[in-house]
Amino acid sequence: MKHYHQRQRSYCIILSVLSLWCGIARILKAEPVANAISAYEAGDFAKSAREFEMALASGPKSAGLYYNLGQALKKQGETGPAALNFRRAMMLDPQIIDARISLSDIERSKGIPLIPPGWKDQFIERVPLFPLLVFGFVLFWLGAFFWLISAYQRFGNRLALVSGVVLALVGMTIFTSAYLADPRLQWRDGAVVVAAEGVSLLSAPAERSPLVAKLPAAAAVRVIRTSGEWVYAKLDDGKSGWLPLNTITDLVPEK
Amino acid sequence: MKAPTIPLLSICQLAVALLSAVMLVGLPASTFAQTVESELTAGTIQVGQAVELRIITKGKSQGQLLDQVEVDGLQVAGSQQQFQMQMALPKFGIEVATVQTVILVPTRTGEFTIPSLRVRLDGKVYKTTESVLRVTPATGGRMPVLPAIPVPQTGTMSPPVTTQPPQPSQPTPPPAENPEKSYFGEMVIPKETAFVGEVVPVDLRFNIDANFPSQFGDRPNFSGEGFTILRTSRPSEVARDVNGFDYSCIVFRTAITAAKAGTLEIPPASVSARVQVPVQAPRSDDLLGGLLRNFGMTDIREIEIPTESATLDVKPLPREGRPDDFDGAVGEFKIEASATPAKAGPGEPITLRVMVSGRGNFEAMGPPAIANAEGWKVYDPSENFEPSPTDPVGFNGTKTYEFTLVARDDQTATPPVQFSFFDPAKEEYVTIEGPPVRVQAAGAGTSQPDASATQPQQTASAPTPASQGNDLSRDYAATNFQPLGWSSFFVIAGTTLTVVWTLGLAVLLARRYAGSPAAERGRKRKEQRKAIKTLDDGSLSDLDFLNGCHLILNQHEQISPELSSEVDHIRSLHEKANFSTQTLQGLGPEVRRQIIQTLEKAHDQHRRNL
Repeated sequence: MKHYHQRQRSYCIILSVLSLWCGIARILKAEPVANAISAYEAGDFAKSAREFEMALASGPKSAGLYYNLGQALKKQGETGPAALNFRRAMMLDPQIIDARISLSDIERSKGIPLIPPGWKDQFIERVPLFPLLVFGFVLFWLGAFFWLISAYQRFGNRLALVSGVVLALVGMTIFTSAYLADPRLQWRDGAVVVAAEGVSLLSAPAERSPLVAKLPAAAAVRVIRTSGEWVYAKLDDGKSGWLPLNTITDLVPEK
Repeated sequence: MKAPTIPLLSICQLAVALLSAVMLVGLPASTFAQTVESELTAGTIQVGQAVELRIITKGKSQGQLLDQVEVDGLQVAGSQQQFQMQMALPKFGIEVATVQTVILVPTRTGEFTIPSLRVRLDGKVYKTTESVLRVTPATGGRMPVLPAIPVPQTGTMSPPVTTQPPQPSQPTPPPAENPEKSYFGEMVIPKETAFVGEVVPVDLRFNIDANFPSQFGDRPNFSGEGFTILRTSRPSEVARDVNGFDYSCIVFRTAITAAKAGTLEIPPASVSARVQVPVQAPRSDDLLGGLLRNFGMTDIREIEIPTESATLDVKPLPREGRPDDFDGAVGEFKIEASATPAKAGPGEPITLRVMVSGRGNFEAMGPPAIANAEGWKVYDPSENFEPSPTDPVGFNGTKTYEFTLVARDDQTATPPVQFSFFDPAKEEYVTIEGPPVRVQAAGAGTSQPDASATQPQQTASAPTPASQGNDLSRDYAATNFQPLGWSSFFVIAGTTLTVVWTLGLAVLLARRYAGSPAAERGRKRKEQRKAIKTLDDGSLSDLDFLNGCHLILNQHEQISPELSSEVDHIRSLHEKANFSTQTLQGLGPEVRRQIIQTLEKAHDQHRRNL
């Protein structure tokens, strides 16, 4: 009986220490965010942006934090980096309407032409991706096992066979569509012009080569390949050319 | 009695004289067709609005209005006259166009018929046509109407001093002798009390003896503390009769808004003017002065015409009954709302255009409030004020606010708009509401709720930029840039399920195979191979050995021709051992090995054939 009480007490102590540690860790993690929000509310957007960057560097990524960082940068007039972070927020959460609107504001102010949304964009705007992926995944495997069961029954059970095939096909279609529509995949090669004065898209990786297009800050490009200090990139309107590497930042941040 | 004789010469002289008179007088009169027209600048107006009745005459001389406009319900607020002379080249004469304008302000609603008015033109009296004016109730409230400027009782209008030829030789005494006393200013405020923020119209009237040609400054000097001044109209000029003297009056129309309660002291306004006055002789017997005066010599003097100061009792806006969304609008207003486009996709903005029209302090009031904006993200509106064309001051008009709305969820109508103001005529607060406008807006799913949207009253009371921080997200759900399809959940679950499914399939296939003829044959082959191996046991008797060989051979359905002799030999040995009376000579190890090799060959051949 005495041993039982001692063991119970030691369990309590361990649990308390763990809880305390979790609480402290949570507070430490939340501190930069709280500081950033306070600075933002006080109108110190530069400090707010720094704190949000710190929170993103030290903690897990989140669409909300990228959006907030974008807002702080936008308030400072840094449209390129702001657009980059709004796009990152939209990559992580395609339904974050505030980021979409803020990005739209910046693009309008920069004269960036509006590209009509494709089926993937419209798809992800309406449907939450992860539940859809899970749904497709479950359907596919349900169908696969239905088929297997019907195979055990020497395909005598037609219902199991047909439903198995249909479920598997539907599930695979849903999963594949959601997978392909995932902006993390779509914009894996994406980058944003962060140079405040914009950048020239050139036909060759040399400063005096002919101009293909003039890109303002906040314009989005797709990186095809990198060669030294130059990047071969493609625009949404089909144009392609070379950009100095230091004028753009990848949408997917380096780890 | 002898009739008097008229000399022929006299008759001829009379005829020539008459002809000359006709040519000199009658010809020009016949070449200029006199026209008299009248028109109203608007057919339908509201109570309190001004309309102009214009009587346009064309002839050799100026037209002269003989009648006054006397219509019950129409107040004459002023009149003026302009004329223009032009050379009519084909007829070698001068044509004079006169426009006489009478400003009318209706005091009640109804349909008014302005009767025909008599006009004297080139020695004849003409009549204008009747005009009909419809007056509707004032939609923008009952703003005080400024008292009309009295017009000359005689009905004859003195032409404006700026266009009248100088008449210094015939000044109207006594002002001609003392020009400093022949001008004065007035500040006309139609009410003695007003509320803070209420727009109070003010007329600044500057009068100069009509006998002195004068030129006024473009703008009056008018400023003070405790009130703001709206725009000042361009000056209009009217003729007045004050105590029997004709005055030319310049009117500047403006309005003020009191900023605080209490007695408001309004300082005098003034305007600069240049006046032509006759050259004055120092003594009455001065021959030169008299000559100069008689010959029309004038002097130009710069003068400043001041008005008197005024006071206004300003009352504070009442606290009781003040709506939460009241944002300083004082007057009387109505609102209308429209939205474009009618259909918007996810994230696409809809412009909600709210038009606040009426009369009041448009410059100081805030935008309407968006109520029940849950499900929408509402951005601060842009605003644009369009004054009424008939209001040169700017307290009548329409202020348009354009809100940008983005639907968070699917919406079928915009949120309602409400606008609160203080009506100084009723002395109470009024809240009017613009109904929702039907739109079809697709939402972009759930996002961070808009703080302003969830608190409509706060939005209403503070529609100007929301406090910093409200536009930040509070949702920090952890995620990463790895495509969701590659997430560990799908990798682990997919791998596990694949293994399970593959195992299931393997078991199924194994079971299927186990029951198949091929599996049966395989089993038989294994048994044969095993049987052949048992024959290799040297301890078997010749009879058991041959029986075993016979059993194995019986399981082979076909024996190839090259092995048939050897197989026949084995079978004959078996028959000999079992059924013949002859004794079988012992099978040596060599014979047994050859037999086993034959059996193995037969087995291999049989397996290949399968």
